Amino acid sequence: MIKMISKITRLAAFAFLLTLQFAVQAQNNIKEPFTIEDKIKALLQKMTLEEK
Amino acid sequence: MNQYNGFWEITGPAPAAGDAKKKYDHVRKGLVGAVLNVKGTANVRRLQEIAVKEIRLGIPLLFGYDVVHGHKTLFPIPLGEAASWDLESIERSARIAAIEASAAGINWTFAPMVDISRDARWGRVMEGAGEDTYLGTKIGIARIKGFQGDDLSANNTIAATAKHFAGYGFAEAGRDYNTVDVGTSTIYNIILPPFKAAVDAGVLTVMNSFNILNGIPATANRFLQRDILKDKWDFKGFVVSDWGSGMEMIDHGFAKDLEQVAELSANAGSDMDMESYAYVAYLKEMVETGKVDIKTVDDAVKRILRVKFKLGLFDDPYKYCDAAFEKELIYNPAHAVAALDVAKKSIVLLKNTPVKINGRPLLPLKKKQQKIAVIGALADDKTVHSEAGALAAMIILPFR
Repeated sequence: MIKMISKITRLAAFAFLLTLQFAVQAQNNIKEPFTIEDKIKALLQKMTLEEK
Repeated sequence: MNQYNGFWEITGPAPAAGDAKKKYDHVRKGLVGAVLNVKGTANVRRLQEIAVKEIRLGIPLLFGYDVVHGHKTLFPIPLGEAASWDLESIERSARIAAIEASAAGINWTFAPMVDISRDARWGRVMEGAGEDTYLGTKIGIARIKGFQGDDLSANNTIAATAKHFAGYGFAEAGRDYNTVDVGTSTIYNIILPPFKAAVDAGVLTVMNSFNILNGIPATANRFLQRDILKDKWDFKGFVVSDWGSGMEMIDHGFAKDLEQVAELSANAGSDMDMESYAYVAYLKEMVETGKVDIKTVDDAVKRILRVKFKLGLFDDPYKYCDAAFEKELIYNPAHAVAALDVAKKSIVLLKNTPVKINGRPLLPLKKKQQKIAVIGALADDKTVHSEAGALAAMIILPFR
């Protein structure tokens, strides 16, 4: 019984670490928004012709 | 893409009528991207609040001013500083000018003037570094470094402007605003190098010019602004017109009306219209009728926004609005010491050794019993020193 609990715990820990790693990787893969050029582009899209 | 001159008592009540009301309404509608001649932290903060808090997209304004030789603490005129040949001192002069100007809310100076000029009759010789392209280039770079510093996001560095693009210093007969007609050798070897160096040094803005260059006004000059400046030199900042230089193309006989001014200026690469009211009145229509491509407008707007981002105005639109800084830094005694140092280095002394003119002795001057004529109305005019009104009592005139 104890052996089984230990196995399940280890499996759960492994799954948790795996998920954590994927989450961190996903976070890192998001492009740093927002260089000045990105921000300019985003702002330009919001502007009407009159505002330009 | 519009820049207006400061036009009403900024911190007072809103203007109720006339041109001031019209301009004020334009600011509130978000039709103005920059103003000039508005200074002082209270005034700048008030206008910036309108731009940032009351307008849909909250895009901060640029505040331009002619910070040419010092701001409040005055340094020698640029031509005088050039006579020092001391690049370090010239950079320091511009640095202090930027410190005082930024403390007063200004984030953009219309300097340095890097026009080479060789006709002493021209009325703006004093704003540049003189006749020599090499020295003028070095001085232009020093001034840009001084104004813009190493970190544009700091609150004591401001955007510089290389002006006047191009050929302004070669006005026929030295008459200001007059026609310029020069050959390609003069353009490429004498006029353009200081501007190229300014671009390489990272100058954020370039101002075009009042004059016609070889038949085409600088403001509508595609060769200068697009082919050379933006394409060949890869300039990423924006071009601002000189005061009303767009409108003056009508007087030049180059544009028939303000509508055509908008079309010609925008297509040629003049990104911001200072005080001609051509873009605000007609640019939208020009795009809608296909006379100006929307991509042209977008390119200009991107350039202007880029400068605002680089200055850090989107992070903190009030970064130049610290009243305590203003009080501490304007006329700071250390600045006066620096100005005196540069002034001493700028003085050109004649060697008091024998010289004859037409056979008559001119030098040496005698230590006693010698009279020297100081000629001209300005010899006794303390107010001519522009911003120095408050310091008039300290000015020592040459004949005293």
